[in-house]
Amino acid sequence: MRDENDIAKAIVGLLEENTSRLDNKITNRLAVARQQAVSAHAKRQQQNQGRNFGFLHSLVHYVHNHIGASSAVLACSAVLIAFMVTQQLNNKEAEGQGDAFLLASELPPEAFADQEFHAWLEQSSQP
Amino acid sequence: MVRTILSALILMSGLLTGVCYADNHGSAQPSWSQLSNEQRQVLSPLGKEWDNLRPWQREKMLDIARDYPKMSHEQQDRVQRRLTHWSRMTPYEREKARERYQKFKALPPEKKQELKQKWRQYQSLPKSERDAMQQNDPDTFDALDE
Repeated sequence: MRDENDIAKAIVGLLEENTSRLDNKITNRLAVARQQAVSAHAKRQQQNQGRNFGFLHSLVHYVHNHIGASSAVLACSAVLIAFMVTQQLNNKEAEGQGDAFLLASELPPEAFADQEFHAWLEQSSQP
Repeated sequence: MVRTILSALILMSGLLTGVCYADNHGSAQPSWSQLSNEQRQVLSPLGKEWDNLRPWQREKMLDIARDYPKMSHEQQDRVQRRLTHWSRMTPYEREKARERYQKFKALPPEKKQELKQKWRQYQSLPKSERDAMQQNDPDTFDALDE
């Protein structure tokens, strides 16, 4: 381990020694290239991190970029759910009221349910 | 942006809660002792058989009890008199009754009156006469059973 460190230090020393002898032009080009490499690496890391968030990240990203469309979709969903809930409650109300008021009707429920009575009605209405 | 999403989520969760509440409310199966005093009073003709009613029958009866206070005294009397018979009718009979009641409601008053008279007339017929009619014209009777 110590040998490896010593070798690494020797390499760094040699590189620095040689770098100090380089032309300014070359030093600048190397600095720019290094900067580009670091930026590209940072970008790749960001993308990898983004992939780890998966669907949720994509969704948030999409919503962030399409705020208008997303708001419209959310509003439509809310309206649709509200409509469905209202329909369900209305049907329930109408059905319950139907039974209660059917029982309170001028004719008893058996008059409505009696098949023979309705057959008789049909028969008696024939000429 | 975050506020919009948050508002939408809150709205949706509120609505979904409403749906859940409606479902739970609909599937309630209270025993006779769990009913309120008002409900017991309205549904008193069914007191003895309440705990043997199926959940959906109880639900329907509770709907009737809910609408009972909206009725006139005359209507309330009718409901009390007819409740037991209604609870003993088959689902098919009840469905037929609902269908015909909807048609009856849409009739003009004079037609309603006519139908009431016909019902009284039919009830006054001796059973032998009704049976004879059915035997003489079975097609009409069978057609209505379908």
